[in-house]
Amino acid sequence: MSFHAKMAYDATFQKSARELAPDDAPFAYTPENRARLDAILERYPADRKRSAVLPALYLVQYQQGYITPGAMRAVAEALAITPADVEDVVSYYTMFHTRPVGKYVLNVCRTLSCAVNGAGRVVEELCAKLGIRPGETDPTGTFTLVEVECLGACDRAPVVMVNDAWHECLDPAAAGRLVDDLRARGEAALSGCLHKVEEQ
Amino acid sequence: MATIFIDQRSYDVPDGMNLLDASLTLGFNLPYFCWHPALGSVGACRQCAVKQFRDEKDMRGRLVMACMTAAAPNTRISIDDPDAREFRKSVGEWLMVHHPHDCPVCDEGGECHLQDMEVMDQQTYRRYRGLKRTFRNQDLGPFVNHEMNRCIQCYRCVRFYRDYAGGRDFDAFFLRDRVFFGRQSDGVLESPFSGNLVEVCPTGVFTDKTLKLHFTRKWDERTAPSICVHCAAGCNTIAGERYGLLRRIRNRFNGEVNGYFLCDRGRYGYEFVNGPRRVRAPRIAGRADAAAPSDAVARAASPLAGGSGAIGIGSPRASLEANFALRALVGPDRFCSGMGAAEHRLVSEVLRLLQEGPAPAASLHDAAQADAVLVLGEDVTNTAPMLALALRQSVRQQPMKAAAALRIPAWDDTAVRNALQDERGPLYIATVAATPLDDVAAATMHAAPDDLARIGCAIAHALDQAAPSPRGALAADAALVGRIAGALRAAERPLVVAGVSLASQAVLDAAARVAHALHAAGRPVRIALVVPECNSLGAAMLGGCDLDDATALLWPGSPLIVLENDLPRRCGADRAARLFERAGELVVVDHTLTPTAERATIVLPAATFAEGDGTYVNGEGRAQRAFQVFVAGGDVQESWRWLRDLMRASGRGGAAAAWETLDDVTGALARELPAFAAVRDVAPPATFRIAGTRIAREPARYSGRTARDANVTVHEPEPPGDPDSALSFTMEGFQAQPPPAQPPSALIPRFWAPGWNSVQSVNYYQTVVGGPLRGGDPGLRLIEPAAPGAPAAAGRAPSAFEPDDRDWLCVPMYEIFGSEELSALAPSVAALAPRAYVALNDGDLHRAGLREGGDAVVASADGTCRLQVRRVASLPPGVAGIGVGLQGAPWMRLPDRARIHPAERDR
Ligand code: SF4
Ligand code: SF4
Ligand code: FES
Ligand code: FES
Repeated sequence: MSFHAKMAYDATFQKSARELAPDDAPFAYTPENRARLDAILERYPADRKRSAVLPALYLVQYQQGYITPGAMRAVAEALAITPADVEDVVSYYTMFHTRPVGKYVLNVCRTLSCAVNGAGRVVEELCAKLGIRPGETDPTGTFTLVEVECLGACDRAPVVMVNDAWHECLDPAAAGRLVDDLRARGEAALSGCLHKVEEQ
Repeated sequence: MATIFIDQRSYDVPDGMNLLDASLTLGFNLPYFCWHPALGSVGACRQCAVKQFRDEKDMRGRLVMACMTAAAPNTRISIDDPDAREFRKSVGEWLMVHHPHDCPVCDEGGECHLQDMEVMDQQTYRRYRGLKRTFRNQDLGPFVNHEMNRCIQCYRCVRFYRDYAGGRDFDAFFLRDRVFFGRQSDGVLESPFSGNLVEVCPTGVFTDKTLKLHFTRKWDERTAPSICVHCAAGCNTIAGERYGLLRRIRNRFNGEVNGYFLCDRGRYGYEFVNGPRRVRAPRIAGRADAAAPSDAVARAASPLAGGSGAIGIGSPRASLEANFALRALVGPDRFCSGMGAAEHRLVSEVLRLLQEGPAPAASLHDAAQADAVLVLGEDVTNTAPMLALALRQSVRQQPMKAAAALRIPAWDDTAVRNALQDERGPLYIATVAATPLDDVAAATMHAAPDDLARIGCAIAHALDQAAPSPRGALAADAALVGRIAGALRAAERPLVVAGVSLASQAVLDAAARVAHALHAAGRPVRIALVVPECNSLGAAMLGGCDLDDATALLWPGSPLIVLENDLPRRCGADRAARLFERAGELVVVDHTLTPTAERATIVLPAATFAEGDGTYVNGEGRAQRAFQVFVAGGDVQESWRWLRDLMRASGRGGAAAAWETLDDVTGALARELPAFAAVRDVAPPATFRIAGTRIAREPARYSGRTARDANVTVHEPEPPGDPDSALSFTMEGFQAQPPPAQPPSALIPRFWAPGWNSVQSVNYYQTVVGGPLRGGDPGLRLIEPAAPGAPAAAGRAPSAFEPDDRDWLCVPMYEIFGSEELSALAPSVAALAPRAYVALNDGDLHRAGLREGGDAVVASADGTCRLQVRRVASLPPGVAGIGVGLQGAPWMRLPDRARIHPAERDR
């Protein structure tokens, strides 16, 4: 509430824990994911398990799409750190979702190289096409549009990362076609250029 | 010394400072946010910009952050430069973009560093007309209130909470303008130092939640320099009052003791002063209404007048003056320290060790500076919390040498932490069970008290072959013992920490042996021995007998005078009852209606630390004075005055009956007992004047002075006089203010400097920023070891502990919230105090058939009691921990053997 007419208070930003889906259920890795996590943990000394916090979180996200408070607690326990340590990381990085997202997350880079090469128009096109604003998910739950900072492929600007796949040199029309293609062919439409964390 | 130039004038500053340290030390007003003298610089807020010039010909200069730039010789800067001012002002403006304009309803208003800095920046009007980001706040427990919208992202809170105090449940979340500081979810802050957030945060994000219940602005508080009475660390505090209610406790900087911080027991325990259990008028048993003071005194004095037999039981939680007055009333032979036999013996042993040496006592400052530490038997976080915070800093000392070798200045916190990573110096902790300090230890050992003593002996033996070597297997491996001995021997400032909390003479002996061996090896070792209460050492120095002796001395029917002491807590309800039955008149002088006071025939209402002056001797042997903050209502007066009144009415006490002022008492004490010769000089006498006046307890802006009592009288009452100190109770007098005129350090009632209304004003009272107060830090050490030091303890190391099939060895365990008598009466502290418990490890739980959280019956020679079962995996087999002093915990002699079985069996 505000007592100054020009100073409306905006209640959009809240601490993530409150924004999360109500589901605060306990989280458990599937046996395969747990095995993958254990393999990753082996790379670090026993008292430095916290080093694996990023891959541990990616595994959660691969498993259930987004990271719940319950999952943060599970990760904290697996790495012998506190839930606060985990949320510190989750809340810092844009790649981690704390709410359900669409099947395809369209991460549009809006940093300098992409910006001067028309990333703004790409965002406009995607907004129009999907009927959503950045940060939102379309009603069918298929697409989430996110604006992010530099994706490290500036020479191929503008860049859109769809889940783990880079799509480069996208003009607005190509971005529109990408959406159609994803609708039609699903995962097959993704470029083969993948970003995979701590795998191999 | 380095010569630097600020705005064309040259100044000499100590080497190794940064430009912000240096400017503040020189008295310049240079605004800052993220820097904190105890936390160092990170250059995050950009508020401290100054212009630096290459040489005298450079006219353009460049903006640098003062906190991140070394004050190297010939550095030339301008604080007044228009570009620098403009830059600082713009920082002030953007920090206000999201900050609410709610000073009138903000608890921080009037003592807010952000307010001060905005005024200093002359950032008065806001141009931003957009939306403000808002957060939802968290419930962080009974101590700290959370109002995130006021955050200016300086990161001091996380740096204190995590980096300095080792808390892990608090963090920074999100990024950019959404950064959020708090916990992952609502809940009590886990660190026992969380209350410092209130002072560390430069804005009103974290404020004192107990103050909120009876809020008063800083400028409306009457304050006095005080001493924390909740453990033997003796932290310095500022206590503030209005309308007869003690409102809050804040830190009072003392470079040798607590520095900038307090523990939560010390900050929040004060509420006992306002509690419903306070005695405010004399009580005579059998009379429903309050008695007139003269009646009560006359009645209490009449059996004393007969001349013989009265026994006086003093108290380790009462001031020296009170104890000494009691000693004068009953005579030295009939004066009891108020401690049980075991405690009395061990505290006296500590006193002997400190007096005879060879190792001198370590102050908290010394502890933080130690570069190798052995903790033997003491869970310092729960028995002397601020010592734990100091030891947490000690582990940085050795790695800091590496940083220095890399030419990283100690104040450059980010660079130091990056260079050191997780490097920690040698801190070895040997205790009965895991302690909250273990996370920074190089190694920990958990064993029964005798086994801890054996580890200590083995270390002493490794250092000095003359020390006895324990026979048989040790609870720690030989390589570790060797490492510990090596680390202590190699250190420049080794420290041995022990104490009386385990009630084990063997542990104390072993610690003394290690110190002795190090001393024999020519190392400058110090020793920190933790005693239980705020004046335990003072009571021991007065040299009375213990409670057992007092019981034996008491002739049936003779009067018993108990000073600020609850005997069932010391020797159990049964023995106390026997003592009470044996006594004729039972006179209790106390501020709180304890079970002892309930049994009394006469209760005389005593002043608390906030209502009367008193001197306390902390565990280091440092005598410090707490000054009266306000005049308590009713018939409350200092214990020593009641006892003096008894002397007058009974014709006893000799010259002491003529005492009128505190200075009379301390003067007599200094004359009569040589150990206390310095006690008069702990603070200036009541006749001291500065610029011809007293020092005012009320700030110049104290409001409503003439209307304050309008509900009682429309005439402004005559202010009370103060015969005991050089402080005045009103705003008349010298207003605390830094140089050229600043009160003597023991008499600083609050910190304030022109333009600096927040706690940060302390910068201007120090010789150098972060260094001692001008005129020396307050307090005087009464004990220094005699040269050349006593010989090492004779005798052998104890034999190894043998677990028993049927019994457990019960040892005491302590809780920062709950184990101390007075703070446990404060509702906020009580809310965090656990139920009385017995703790066992998993195997023993199984063996005894107990379930965690269930109830157990503990049967010892002192009777049986029912306690909640706690699982403590690190306890050695055969050892049970009993939480002491907790609500519902009956007294039990510890250590002792006891049977433990599930409570159900009894039903
Ligand atoms: S909460 Fe306070 S201390 Fe923490 S970053 Fe914000 S303003 Fe600074
Ligand atoms: S309880 Fe002890 S450590 Fe805590 S503030 Fe008081 S004297 Fe200091
Ligand atoms: S700016 Fe878009 S990828 Fe770097
Ligand atoms: S105080 Fe120097 S940048 Fe914050």
